[in-house]
Amino acid sequence: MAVRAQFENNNEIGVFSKLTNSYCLVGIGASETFYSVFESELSDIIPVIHASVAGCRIVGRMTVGNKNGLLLPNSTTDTELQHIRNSLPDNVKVQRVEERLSALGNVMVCNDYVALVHPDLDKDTEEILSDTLNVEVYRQTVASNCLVGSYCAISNQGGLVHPKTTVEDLDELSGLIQVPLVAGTVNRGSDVVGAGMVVNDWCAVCGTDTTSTEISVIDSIFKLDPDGVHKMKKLKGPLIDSIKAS
Amino acid sequence: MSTILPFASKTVLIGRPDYQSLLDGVKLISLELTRKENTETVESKNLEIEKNYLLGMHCTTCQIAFEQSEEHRAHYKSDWHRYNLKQKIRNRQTIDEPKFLALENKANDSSSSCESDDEINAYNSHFSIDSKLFFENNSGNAFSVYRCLLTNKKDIPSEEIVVDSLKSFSSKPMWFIVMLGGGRFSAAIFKGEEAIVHKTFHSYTVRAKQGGSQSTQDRSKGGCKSAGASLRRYNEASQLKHIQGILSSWLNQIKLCDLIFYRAIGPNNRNILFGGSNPLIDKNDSRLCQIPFGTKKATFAEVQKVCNQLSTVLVYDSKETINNSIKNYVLKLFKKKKNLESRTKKNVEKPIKDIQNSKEKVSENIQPSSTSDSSENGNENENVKFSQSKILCENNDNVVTNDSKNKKRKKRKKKPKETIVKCGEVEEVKILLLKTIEDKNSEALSKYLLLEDMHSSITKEYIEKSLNEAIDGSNNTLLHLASTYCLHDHIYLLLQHGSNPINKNKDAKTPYELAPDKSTRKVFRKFMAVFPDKYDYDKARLPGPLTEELQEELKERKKAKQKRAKERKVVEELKKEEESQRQKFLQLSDREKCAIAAEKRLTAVQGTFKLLRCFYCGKNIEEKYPFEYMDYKFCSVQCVKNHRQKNIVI
Repeated sequence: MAVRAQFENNNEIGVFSKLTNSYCLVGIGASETFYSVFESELSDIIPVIHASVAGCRIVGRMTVGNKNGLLLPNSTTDTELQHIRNSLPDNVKVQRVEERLSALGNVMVCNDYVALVHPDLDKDTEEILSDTLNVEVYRQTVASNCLVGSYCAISNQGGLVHPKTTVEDLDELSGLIQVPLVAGTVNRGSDVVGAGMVVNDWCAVCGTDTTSTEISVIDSIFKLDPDGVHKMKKLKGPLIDSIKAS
Repeated sequence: MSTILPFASKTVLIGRPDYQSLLDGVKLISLELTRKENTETVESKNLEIEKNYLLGMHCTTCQIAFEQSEEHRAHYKSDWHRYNLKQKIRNRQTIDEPKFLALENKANDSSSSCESDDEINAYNSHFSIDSKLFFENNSGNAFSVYRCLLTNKKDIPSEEIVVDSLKSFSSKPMWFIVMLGGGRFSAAIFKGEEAIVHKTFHSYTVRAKQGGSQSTQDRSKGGCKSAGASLRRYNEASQLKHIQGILSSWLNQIKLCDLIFYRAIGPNNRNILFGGSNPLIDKNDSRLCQIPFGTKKATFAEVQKVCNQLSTVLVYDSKETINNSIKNYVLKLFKKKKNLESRTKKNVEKPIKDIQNSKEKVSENIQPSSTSDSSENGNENENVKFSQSKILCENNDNVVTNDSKNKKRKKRKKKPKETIVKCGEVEEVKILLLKTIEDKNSEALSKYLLLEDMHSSITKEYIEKSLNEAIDGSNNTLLHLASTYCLHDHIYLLLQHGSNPINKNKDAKTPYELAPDKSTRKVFRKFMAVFPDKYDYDKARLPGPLTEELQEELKERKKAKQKRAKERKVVEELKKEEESQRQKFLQLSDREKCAIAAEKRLTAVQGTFKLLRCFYCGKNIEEKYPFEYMDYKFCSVQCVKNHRQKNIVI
């Protein structure tokens, strides 16, 4: 089930954190309540790293990564890079890229196999991305928005995209990413889905404003609530049978 | 064009044992492609693709759907997609693939000069497909050889000649390669891979920074008296002498060479090799050919590289891949050509205009002429009211007589009597045959061609001659005219009686190319199917024979297409009906809608009334549970809301 959290009264969790299947980055200097949400969910499985990028806490928007690697913008300082590299698991490759579009998290989005990128992205960056993260890279827009990273959140299970994505586009995108997609919102109607939440294959964190409907959509598309859903399905069968019988 | 060909799986040097093994049952890969097949396969493909649109295998940006997901994925890597994506972001129109390719080619043409700094790989991708010939052999391999090694003619000669020369390479061919340019000279004679003799030197002749040779500058702007200029002038002269000295000392070896390759750009450089009263290399030497790909500075290394590349045979794994890539290339060319053609729409009208022009000239020429001409002028006056084509044909008559007179005059000087008689008879035949075309009378034509209704003096020879001779000012033959006017029976008869379809008119068009419509072109192809060996159809530019089977196949395809169109129409009509019902329903007041709903409920058993519809938007909600308030029924919450806002109940 997705958890709710807040970063200093700000609901944009995706801005201040980056969650993948093998590590989690969180912005430094937040309250302990914020960190405890992540640590209680993750810390016995993957490292939760307190980090900054180019002196900013918006690590989620500046970086892009998956279980195989992490890309950092050129503005990352050496000490920050060193700190991140030291804290990450050994099999995760870290790479700094020279890219004009420096908010990498806004212009790229990826799961462990596929990445969508901004149409204007440099060809070199595209190559580095596919090498470091082991992904197939596609240039695409989401609901006519170039900032694919801001407007969609994907995991290996599914994806949530900008609410105004047309059905045709959804078909096309899910054909590309090869996971089911749904158009929706987080944080009580915010369309910046990627910035509003973080997700990996077994857990998601979104802002405290997120409504329960939104949470249920997130749970079902990212398959975060295996117990709950399956319990219901299991229960439903005999229940209906008994009703029919009586 | 750089990615046309797949990568070669291995390379073989000419003359080596591996090379001999390649030659087993070698033949040219044929590029038979008919225009029709292309368009139709594309159409059928499109239909299949439409289905795939539903499966998410499409790109909304480029408005294209794919058959396979690999294609779909590969598309996102293509430049075309990137271009369209950027256009879309900037709210500009996206373009389709052929347009993009054209655009790309334009850009490539202008920037090709600055791309040549890569390694040999770049070289490999720089040749145009024309400079190589593609062969296949019995073991299923495809391989390519530079064309200039096999023939130095512009048109590709018959297959046997090419294959013969392919087989005739000795184990160590002797080649002379000379490169000249920018003050650099490099030449070598190779036996196999080994250079027997070679010489390279560089002299200062190119003007620093400005570029261009000193002599060119002198010619265009007059002599400059600077020290550098005189130095360069001197160097140019000495370079010429030096080269002459070298080449004349190699003369005996050059004579033994199988082939001579040269690269000498610009008149200056070419002059050194071919100019002067006693040229170093004969311009008309049959062994002579230019290096068919781009080269760098003339150095010995470069000459070696050229030799190596020329003698390399690229062997491709499968015939299919190379076939496909060649086909793609040809298709692209064809598309380009088509675009050009559509730009100049007047192609078909052109011959007619030509004839008109010639008519005007003729009428000027004719006035001071003999009686026979004037009688024909009379004819022309009579025929004024006839259709334009007929009048044009009349004019052709005049042209003919005029032409013949010219010929007569010319020939009279050489052989006085006989030829005049012959020409006269040939002309007579021509006029008779032309008449049949004017009148569109194929029976008369067949009679003439079978020598019925003719003077006894006219023999078959004359007829054949008249069939293959030009008949008007723009060098059209009878077959050309028949083809332009779509006279199918005429075309067939003429072809049967020896009118050769490879004759070209002034615009270098064969009769087949002049045919304005499909059915006329079909006549040619049908003839080709019946008499496959009568003429050289390649030269006549026929795409291929039209056999019965092919025709039937085409018919079936057409039928299937019509069927599909019908089905689509039915679906559309159903939709329209539904829409009109919906509109009618919407015009009713809520009360009436209620009544209908009630009626519906009542008559549900009998099943007479049509449909239960949403009270607000009129959508069919037969199979749904409707949203209700106060007896009103709706398809969605949105409709309920809208309806309530419209009719506020206090």
